[in-house]
Amino acid sequence: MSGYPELDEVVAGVKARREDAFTAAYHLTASALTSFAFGMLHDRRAAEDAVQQAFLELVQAAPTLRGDGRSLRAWLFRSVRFTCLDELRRRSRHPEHLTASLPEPPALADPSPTGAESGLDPELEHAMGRMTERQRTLLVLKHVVGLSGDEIARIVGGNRAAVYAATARAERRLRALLPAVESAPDAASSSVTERHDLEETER
Amino acid sequence: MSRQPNQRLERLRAYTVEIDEAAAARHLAAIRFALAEAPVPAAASVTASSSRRRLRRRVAAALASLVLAGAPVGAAVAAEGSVPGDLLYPVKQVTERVRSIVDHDIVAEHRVGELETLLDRGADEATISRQTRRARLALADVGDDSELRRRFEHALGRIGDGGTRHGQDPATDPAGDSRPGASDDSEVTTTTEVPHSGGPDATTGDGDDSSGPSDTSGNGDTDRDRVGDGSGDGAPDRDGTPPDDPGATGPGPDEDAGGDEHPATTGGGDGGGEMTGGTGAAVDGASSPGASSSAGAVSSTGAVSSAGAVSSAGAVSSAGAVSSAGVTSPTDPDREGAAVEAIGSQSPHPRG
Repeated sequence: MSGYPELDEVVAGVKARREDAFTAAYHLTASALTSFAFGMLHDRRAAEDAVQQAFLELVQAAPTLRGDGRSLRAWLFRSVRFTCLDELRRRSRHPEHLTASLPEPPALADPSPTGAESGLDPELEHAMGRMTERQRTLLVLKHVVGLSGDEIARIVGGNRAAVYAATARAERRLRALLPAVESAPDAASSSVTERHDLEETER
Repeated sequence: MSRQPNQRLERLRAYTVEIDEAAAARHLAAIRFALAEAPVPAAASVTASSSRRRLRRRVAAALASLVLAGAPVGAAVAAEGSVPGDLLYPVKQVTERVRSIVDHDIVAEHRVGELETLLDRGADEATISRQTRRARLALADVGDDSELRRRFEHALGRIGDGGTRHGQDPATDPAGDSRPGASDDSEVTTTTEVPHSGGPDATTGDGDDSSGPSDTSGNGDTDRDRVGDGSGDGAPDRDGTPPDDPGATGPGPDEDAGGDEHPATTGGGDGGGEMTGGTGAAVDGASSPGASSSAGAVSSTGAVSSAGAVSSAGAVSSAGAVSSAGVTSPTDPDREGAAVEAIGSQSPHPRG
């Protein structure tokens, strides 16, 4: 009914702070939440910490929860988002942690061998580092987690139309920032488009 | 070409990760620990307590809004029975101003009610006198045969009884002179003059203002104060207007005064008439001839009180009348003096 029937079933248990319900909710959402946090922070360990933090907060807030599984999911994403914002803010105050905005490969910035980082695309990281926090949130929620516009609006606030428009702008900007894919048959024209997009988004 | 940008966005999928076992185990352990620490509410009790809390909050909000909305309303209700000088009287004045938009008689009703209340409380003369004036002013716009007027006249009657005033004065007045003595109530000064006024009428003649007093003095300075006040108000007009009457009346000296009241005094006049009641009549009787017009109203009563009556009624109004009258003043000198005094003393009331 909410699009997350399995989550709907555990909501009541979560509200009652039942351990089995929490475990089920964790397994149903942890990967998506971690992807979201990783897309925001570009740091696997920090992303996992954000997810854990969200669940610890859920333990405290459980009795006051309202709604179905979709609401629970949105609640968790919001919690992760706020944790990520705190982390980004903290990094901006202590530049040595500014891995996200640096163009170097994450392998150098983050020594943790979790694997995903090593495969990260430096260009992508660089491009994402130049996006605003909100733009990054919208792009990750849509293209990494795969949420619908409605769900994104629920997480970031604002109405659906505004979220759609902002997402489209963010996509345009990212496209402009990312170099054309090598294999593209019409690299020349794409680079023109790219420049055009860039100008447009910079405005 | 359209594909390219999408391909670029697809690179975002690089951020997709699966939570690994180790991390999941770590997280679940932390969650378990937090759950153990947190109080475990039974599902039922959760909803019960939250709904109870909600109910409590709603009740509190309702009470708060009751108090907030009720305070001014309560003050307004409590102020309803207040009289001038009371703590809540200003509140009453404000609410009355608002209510008068839809109920034009509310002001007069309040003034008369306050007069009655003050009489019940045995308030001092100055207060009663002031209130009488207010009531008379407020009654200016009220129909002649209204219940309010009857109540007002009744109240005036009580004043008369208590203070030996109006009502009686007139009657007594004839003895007018004696009055003065009686009249102590009001201003002695006036009273004093009254004697002169013996030709109260005379007074009427002249002295409008002053004479008024003088006349009054006879009867009623007192009247003046109370009744008179009203008339006083009216009087002025009067003076201006119906001088004739006075003149005519001249003889029926005071009556004029009375007369004056009626005619000129829109509000006051009537009041005067009423007050005087008898007096007015008297006036007519006496003065009627000339004054008539004005008197008309008054006439009712009889000539009787004429002198005295007039005085009182006139007194007040007289002031106005007087002016025109100028004529009358038999004992001008004295009169004037008296008049002046009277004015001095009285004036405050009428206008004040």
